[in-house]
Amino acid sequence: MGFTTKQVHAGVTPDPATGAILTPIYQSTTFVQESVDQYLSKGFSYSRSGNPTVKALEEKIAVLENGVGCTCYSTGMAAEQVVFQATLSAGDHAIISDVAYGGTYRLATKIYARYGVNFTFVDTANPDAVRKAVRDNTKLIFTETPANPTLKLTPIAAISKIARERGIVHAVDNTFLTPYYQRPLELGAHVSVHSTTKYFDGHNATTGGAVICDSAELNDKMRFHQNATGVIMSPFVAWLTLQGTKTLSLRIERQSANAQAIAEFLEKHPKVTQVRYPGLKSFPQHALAKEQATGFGAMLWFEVEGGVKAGKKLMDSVKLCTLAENLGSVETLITHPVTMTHAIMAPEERLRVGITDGLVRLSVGVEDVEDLIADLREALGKL
Amino acid sequence: MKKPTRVNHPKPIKLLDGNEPVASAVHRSVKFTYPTIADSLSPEAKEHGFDYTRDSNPTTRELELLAAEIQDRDDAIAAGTGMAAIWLSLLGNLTAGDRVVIFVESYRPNRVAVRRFLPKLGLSFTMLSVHDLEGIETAFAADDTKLVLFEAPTNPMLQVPDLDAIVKLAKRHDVVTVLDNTFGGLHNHGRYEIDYFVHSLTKYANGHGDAMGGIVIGDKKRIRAIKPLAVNMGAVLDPGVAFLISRGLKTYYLRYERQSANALAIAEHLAKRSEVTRVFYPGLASDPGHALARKQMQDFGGVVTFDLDADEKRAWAFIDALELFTTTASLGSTESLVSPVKLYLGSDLSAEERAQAKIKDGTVRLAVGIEHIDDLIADIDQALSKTFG
Repeated sequence: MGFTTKQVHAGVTPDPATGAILTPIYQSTTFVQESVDQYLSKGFSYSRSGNPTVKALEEKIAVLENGVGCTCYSTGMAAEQVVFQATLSAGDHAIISDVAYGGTYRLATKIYARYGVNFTFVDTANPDAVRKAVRDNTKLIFTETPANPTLKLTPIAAISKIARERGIVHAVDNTFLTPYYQRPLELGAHVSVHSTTKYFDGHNATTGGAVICDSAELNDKMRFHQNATGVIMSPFVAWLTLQGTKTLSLRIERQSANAQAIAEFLEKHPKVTQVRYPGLKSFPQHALAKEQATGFGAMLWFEVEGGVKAGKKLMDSVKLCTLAENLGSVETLITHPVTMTHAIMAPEERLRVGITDGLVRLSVGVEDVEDLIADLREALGKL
Repeated sequence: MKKPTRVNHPKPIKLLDGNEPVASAVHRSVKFTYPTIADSLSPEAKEHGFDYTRDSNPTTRELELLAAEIQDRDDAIAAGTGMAAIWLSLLGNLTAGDRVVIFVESYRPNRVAVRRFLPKLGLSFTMLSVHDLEGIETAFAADDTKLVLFEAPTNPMLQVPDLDAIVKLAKRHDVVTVLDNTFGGLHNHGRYEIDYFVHSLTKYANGHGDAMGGIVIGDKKRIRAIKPLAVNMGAVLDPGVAFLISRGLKTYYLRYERQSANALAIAEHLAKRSEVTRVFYPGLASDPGHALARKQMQDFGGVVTFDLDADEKRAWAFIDALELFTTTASLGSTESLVSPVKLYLGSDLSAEERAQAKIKDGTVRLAVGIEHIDDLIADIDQALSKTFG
């Protein structure tokens, strides 16, 4: 069955009681048991441990990622936190992409470091660097590809191979490309992680997260922590996300086509000194982008002549592109990572991995591309 | 303030100037207030203010103005369902003694409203074929004819009316034009001088099969004329539902485009099958309405109707054999749906009227979704083999 069919139908079956074509919002906190002996015979007891609406979304996402199971969470960070909890204990070591979402960096350095977990931030684009960083107590390799915000790519298959040789879990944050364009588990990863807030919802209407595993054993571990730490997604958010997911491929296809056109426009613009988009021939890892994914996504960044000052002026001048964090939704959003998404990173660390002060990040939406280019052209003209 | 009082008067969170939510807030409040009574009576408050959600609500208003803009008009009134919007357009413009022109090819509930219920209020009707321009001119010329209710294309048989001709005749005879544009969609037909556009927002506008709504769209003067009735009827759209429909509209173009592409591919495929005697789809080059539809519309929507070479029982067997297409009414959502036309959409018509409307025992309507086209065609083929094999 095609992805576009699965995104509409997977996980959703008409309600047996009423024939409702959509999964109902099971807002109920608790579920009646027929008898003590039959406890949990119908699968549900308490909505922190599992809920039928959340389960429908989990089944849909597991199918789309080609995983064995999926667990959903209240945010993308809750999902990531559960991956850390399920794989790391005091005294363990983890490898993380040196370019990653600021929240990942914070979770590692500010929280898990306190509990005796050691982290090494590695250029995961380079498998040799990863191989060298592996220690006997390494339990998790957490990569993000394309990375937020520099878009550096990690070769998923190569890193998964190293992880599997050493019995280490390889988790990939697949938020930027979604399973429509990239399926880490098919490339050898054990776990795929999402902020569903982004492309799955796509309408800026919910916050949520998902973890998809390649084995029942790993999925059970995630499920245990989902329940124990109380970070499960709410039924209403699950329902909105189920609905949003139905148009996932339509949105990201249009968003990627728009992003390609904008990247090409920016590349030719005299005020723009640098553009990075995996779909550009000038992108250093363009070949890898084509090899491990079927599309390039809708995230791009660029720098303008005049550095930070000009970058800020540009962001204040755009009208259609909204100055906001978040990404992946129907609206085009513009972000200054240094002051917004990656402010938590130490300045020298940011510079080392390529997050320059003048970097402007664009999450391209589904608007008419001519309107978007006109907006950018006008703002660039003011510099 | 004592705490039992405070719980009923929480301190509201006011957003800082310029700190705006990207997705609009849902205003659930039933009531809206002003610092003083005088403020509530100011011209600005009367024009743009909010008092009571049955009259108007910011979340619903945002949707009304958005839908109006897509339809190339400047005002609108949202309603709880498409039929509530149809009734608003009728009652808002009619008086006892008036005559309404309706078409035999119409959506069944529209026909039922005009044929069964309007006569109880002292109104009469004339029912014609939408292709009968001579009959339309005669009916419009009658002194008591006040309004015409029509569709483009018609549901379920996808007949394409000549909008230029109908609008011209209506203007000549001072007849109010109400176009149920649900099939055409908000982005089609706006350039025609039609007085009121009505949509079931439940269909393409929302598109996710999870909210019901309707809307009447027109220029400010037309909408103002029916607003007092709307407020009094109280068939309003709930703000929570308005939020869902506004969310749905964000992917409206993507969905309508994909559904139209899928529908055309299915229509072309059906036209090649020996079990199918006729395909109705305005996007199909061989369709009698194709030239007119190409002139009037950008794209042709997701509904395809066709006649199986079969009696009613076998047509039902075909429908039951479909797996991806769910048997139900409605259309315009992400999932593909299928309806037996005579049973679901023709039960109020006599055999003669059904023949005039082109509805046969073996007529099937598909409301095509956004699934992968190969899966949809494979499903149709397996159901045809199973039923005719």
